[in-house]
Amino acid sequence: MNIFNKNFKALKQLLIFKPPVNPPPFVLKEAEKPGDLIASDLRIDTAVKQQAALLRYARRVSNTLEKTLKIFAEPNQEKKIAALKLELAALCQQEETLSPVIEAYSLAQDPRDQAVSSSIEENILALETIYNFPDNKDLIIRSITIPASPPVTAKLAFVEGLVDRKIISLSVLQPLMLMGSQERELYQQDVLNLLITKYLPSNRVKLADTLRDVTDSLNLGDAALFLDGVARAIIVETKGQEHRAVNRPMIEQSVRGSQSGFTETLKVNTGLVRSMLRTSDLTTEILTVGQRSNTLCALMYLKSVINPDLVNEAKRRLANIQTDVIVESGMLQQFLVDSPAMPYPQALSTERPDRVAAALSEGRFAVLMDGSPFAIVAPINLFTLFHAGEDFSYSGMGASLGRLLRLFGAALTLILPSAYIAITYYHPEALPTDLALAIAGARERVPFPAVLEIAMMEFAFELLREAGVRIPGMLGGTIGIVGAIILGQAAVAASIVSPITVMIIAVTGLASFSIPDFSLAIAIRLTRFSFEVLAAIFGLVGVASGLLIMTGLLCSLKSFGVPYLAPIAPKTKAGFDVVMRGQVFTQELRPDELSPLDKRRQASVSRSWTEKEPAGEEDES
Amino acid sequence: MLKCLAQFALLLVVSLLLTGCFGGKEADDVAYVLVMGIDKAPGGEQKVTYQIAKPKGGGGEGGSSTDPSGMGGKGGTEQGKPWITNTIILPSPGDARMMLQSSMSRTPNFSHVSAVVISEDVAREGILPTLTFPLRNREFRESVFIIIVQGSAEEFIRQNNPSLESTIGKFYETFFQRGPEVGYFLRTNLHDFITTLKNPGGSPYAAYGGINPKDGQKQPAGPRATPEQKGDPYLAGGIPRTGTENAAEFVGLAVFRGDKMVGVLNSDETRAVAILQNKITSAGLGVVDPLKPEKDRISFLIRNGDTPKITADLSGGKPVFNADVQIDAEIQGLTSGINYEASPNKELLEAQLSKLLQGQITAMIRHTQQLGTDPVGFGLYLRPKFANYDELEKVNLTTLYQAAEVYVNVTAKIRRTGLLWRTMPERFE
Amino acid sequence: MSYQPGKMGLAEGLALVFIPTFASVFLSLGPINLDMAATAAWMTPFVHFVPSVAVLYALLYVLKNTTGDFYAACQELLSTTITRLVILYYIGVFFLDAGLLIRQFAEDTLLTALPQVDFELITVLYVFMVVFLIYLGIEALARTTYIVIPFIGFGIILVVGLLFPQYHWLYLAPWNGRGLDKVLLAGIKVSGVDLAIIIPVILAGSFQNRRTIKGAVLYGLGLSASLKALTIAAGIAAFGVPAGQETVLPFYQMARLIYINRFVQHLEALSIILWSIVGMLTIALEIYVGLYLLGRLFNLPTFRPLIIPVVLILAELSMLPDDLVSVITFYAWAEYSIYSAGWALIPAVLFLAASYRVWRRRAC
Repeated sequence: MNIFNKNFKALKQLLIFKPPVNPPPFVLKEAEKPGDLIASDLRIDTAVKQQAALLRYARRVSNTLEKTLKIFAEPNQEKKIAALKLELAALCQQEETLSPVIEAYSLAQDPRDQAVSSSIEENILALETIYNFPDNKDLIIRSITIPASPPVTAKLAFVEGLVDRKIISLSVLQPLMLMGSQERELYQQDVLNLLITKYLPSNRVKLADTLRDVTDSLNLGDAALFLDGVARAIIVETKGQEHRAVNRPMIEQSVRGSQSGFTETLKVNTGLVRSMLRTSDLTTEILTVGQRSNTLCALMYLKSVINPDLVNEAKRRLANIQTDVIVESGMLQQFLVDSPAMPYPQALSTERPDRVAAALSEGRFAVLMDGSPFAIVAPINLFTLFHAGEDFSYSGMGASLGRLLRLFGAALTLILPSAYIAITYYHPEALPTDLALAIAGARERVPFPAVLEIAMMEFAFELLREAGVRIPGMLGGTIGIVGAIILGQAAVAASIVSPITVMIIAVTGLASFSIPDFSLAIAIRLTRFSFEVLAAIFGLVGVASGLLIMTGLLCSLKSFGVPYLAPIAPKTKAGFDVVMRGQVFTQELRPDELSPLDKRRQASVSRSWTEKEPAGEEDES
Repeated sequence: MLKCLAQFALLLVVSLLLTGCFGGKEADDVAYVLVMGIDKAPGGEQKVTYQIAKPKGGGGEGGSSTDPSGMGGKGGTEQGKPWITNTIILPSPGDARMMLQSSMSRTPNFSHVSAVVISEDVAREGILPTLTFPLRNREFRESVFIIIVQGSAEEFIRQNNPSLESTIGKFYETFFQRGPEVGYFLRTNLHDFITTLKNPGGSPYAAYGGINPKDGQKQPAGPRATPEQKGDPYLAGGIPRTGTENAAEFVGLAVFRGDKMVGVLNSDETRAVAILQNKITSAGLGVVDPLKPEKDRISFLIRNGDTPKITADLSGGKPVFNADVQIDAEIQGLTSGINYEASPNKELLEAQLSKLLQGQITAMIRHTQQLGTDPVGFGLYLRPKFANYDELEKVNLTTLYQAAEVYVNVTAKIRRTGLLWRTMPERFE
Repeated sequence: MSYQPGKMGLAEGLALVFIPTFASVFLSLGPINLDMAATAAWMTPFVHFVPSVAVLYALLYVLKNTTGDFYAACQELLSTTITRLVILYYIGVFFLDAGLLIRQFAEDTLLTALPQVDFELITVLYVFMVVFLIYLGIEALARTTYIVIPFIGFGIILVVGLLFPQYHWLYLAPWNGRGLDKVLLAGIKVSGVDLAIIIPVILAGSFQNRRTIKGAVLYGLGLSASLKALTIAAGIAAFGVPAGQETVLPFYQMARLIYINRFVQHLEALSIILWSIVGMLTIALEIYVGLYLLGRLFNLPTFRPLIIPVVLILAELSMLPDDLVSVITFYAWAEYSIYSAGWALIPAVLFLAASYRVWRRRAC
């Protein structure tokens, strides 16, 4: 029977297909939140923590007692007795915090909100819990002994990656550890003040009372120094993470104008703006947004110029954003503006400090965000979006021509395809006879209706544009050739599209590249698509309705309380800078719709040298 | 709320798209009619001819076929020409248009019609019933040209074969753009015709066209108005020419009384009308040499020097018109070599020219008064003489013109002499 | 009140007066004008400019001596019942005008731009646009109108200018039409269209002071009168009186007529854009004013929920008449009879009541 069984089993093993034994695949299920403990578990938790804290304290007390015994056993140990006194003082101080009520209260708190304890061990333990040490390898804790009499134990905590290691070694560790052979009595006076004013050559030092301050500073890149027996921590400025150097602006190139663009570091950016406006009026307020990302934002404005209501509103909006993480200033912009649902941008995003400086001097404010090289400038109107940074570098006529060209390009890209659709379908009488016959002849061989052609070409163009952005640099040139040949030549030769459609879409696309602001270009593109649909249904009446809807929506749009079409509707004093750019010396008033505090920015005769005598002698003739 | 709005918007969009785009026609679903011709057909009906454009690069070469259409009509494709003609016989152009739809694969579109060619027979019977169709139909625009032709409109359209233009529309438009400057024919479009017809003052007129047999035979259209004139007046179809140029030509003016055609003005008379209307910018003229009248002549290029001043006087029962015409002339050709460029011969020549033009204009006025028509528009100058519009409506201004006395005074000045300012005698060895 | 209109200035007021008074030049009032005044029809806008200014000053006087705007003035000067009747009349008149305009503009769009569309669908398009514009609020509506005005002016001057080679100046003679007395009568007869000068007075709450209202109405009315006179004169010079009396759309015919050379012709498609925008704005504005008065009359906290039902009802009513010709004749008659009451009669009554009150007060 055994043999039969064995054979049977062997045969079975041979013949029957056994699927490979794999562990089940990983499926992501609901996480068990740490905060989901029921009340009784919570109480047990806190009781355990309380117990552990008391145990640690007890251990410290017993260690001190043992040390006391040892010291008093030997004679002539004044220094050690002094050190012992300090230790006892520290223990007494710590006992105050160990009363059950206070202990229970502090344990129930978020560990971050606890005060800095006078015991180094508690502090470090708390820090390690907060930072998930030892799993989190970014938190470095360095124990040092400051050579004083008696020697002071201290621990230095910092987050690697955010600090400049040279500064830590040179201006924190070196002065403290190499204090010189002279032994100093540190504990006689206020030890913190002594350290800060005499022994820590860092450019910014402050004191922290709660662990939250400590962790906030650590997250920014500072280093925290804990001293045994002192219930505060010293925060030393050691910020120095790696960042990009100041380069040319990536998106807004200009022929004539400063060639520096913002980087990702907040302080560098504010410094760049300040280098353009060297006045003490320029105020930078720092706020934090994002509850987990704790991103720093700088609100910059000229105090003597800007309307104080505007500043208050901006601060109010920035302070009342409840979100987790804000990564880019574009996200912040959408949190801040009046109607984020409208694709038309209600704040200007720019990479150039000279534009920011010019906007600030007109009475606008700028929000810079740490980690983003784009600044948000608000409030704006539609015409500011058409101004390029270098408009003021050229003569009045040249710059005006540029602006008119941009506006005309925007109008063209908006209307051209829809006008073509409307006229070929519904109003062929609007074309010259020869053109109508040429279009009819060209369309003879194409199998698709005109609307479908335009839709296909628009889609192809959008694909090309998107691909051009995403493609790695090496292949960029290929796209140009491929796109041009495929879309242009081959499609026409294969009679898939007619050459007129290609022309129209190409001109429209080119015109849309003349719009300086990228978000505005996106908005205009979206509007153009809806116009095309309206034109295909209703002809020119549809285009008229679309224009009316767009104008109506733009009229009711506000950017931080300033109407979007400001110098035109409502009619305010326009100044010479809306469409045509007047001469540089005639820009006397700030834009009226911003209601600045100081309306005049130039004297009425700006070039006062024209009224004075010239330098040399007068011409004989 | 937003979901509700989105659903509503979706419903709206879908229902709109389901309606089928409201008659938007693809560019290749339409056939553009370029010229319409109207003839008289027996039985009180009208023969309407349509000349339809064939777009370049379109399918189908010029095949031979004649496709029958309508009742007894005939159509045909010209060999290799970019247009088709299609003739239909029905009581009125409105009906014919409907029939056109069933003889062509595409919808006819009349928004690019450049000319309506009407035969003289139809015009003599009254043109207004024919013209109401283009007036009311929204596809016609009032800038189509009205042309009256000698003989049959269908023949004219068929034999009109422009040698320089590729499309027929362009032919008519360029012809009538600069042509009237010479003064041998004038252009009228539907708007001018109808407004002159309906408004008191002035009578309508139309360009007169015809087919030239191209045999070089001279067919003058009447005697010369004055002995100073060297050349003969002509009418359409009578110019002596040969060659490969198109057989169609436009000379003369068809004049109307009310909406009925009453006569034709020949080339000289048409030029006189044009002079009085200040439309001449480069007309050519030949004058018998005053000092050597047997075989020499002088050619001029004339233009209106100043707007002709026409004044009207209605104080007596009969209206009296005074026309003061200034002509600037440029000597183009001088066969005799006499020094006409300087005085005293210049005054002689100027007087000769003035007498010629005066005679032509007076002859024209007499002819039109006889026919009972007022192409120049003298009646218009009577309008300010009336107290108000009601009185104006009671009077027929053309009848007043017929009974009027017209005094014409032409002053010709020779301003330029071309490249030569005097002719030196040749020396024979 | 949540429908408090907001802050408007001189420019917006100008727009509010210009658009309703100007819209009729695109419609068929021109031929009827020509019936009465013949070659001097271009004088009629100026003829009724003068009494409109008198009405304006009367209303400003009324506003000076009462508090608030038109509605409050009525309440103070007239008894409650009469106030209610007056306001109902105005609501009725504005809605009637809006309905007539919807019908005429829809028919005209059908005639000129989209000949094969179903007529109801064009009305739906207009309804949709009008509802959207009213939802935007009076501020945005007035600003949009204000932006559109230069384009209108430019378009009209372009059309009138490009027609220059085709004018017969003598068609404007005899200069006094059928007699100056008839011209005056004609001017008064078509003056009902100036009912729109009431609009800034009704919305007086959103203007800064009476001087803004005065400036707005004077400039708006002046601009509208001059442009209308220009267009009518150009029409007469191009067509003459009898041909002008036949057409349904004089401005469209004028735009079609443009022919400079082979290339500058066929421009009427652009004029379609112009007058369809003007039509939508006028209808939206008039319905807005009617709704505003309705809200004030019944003390409603807001009138936004009423917008869609009212517009739909008016659109349905506008589709009732059988054909366009009866609408045109009715419109002409209504201008003469119904609108004049609102334009002249009621302001006169208010003026008398206000001056009586002032006299009484001064007497005590």
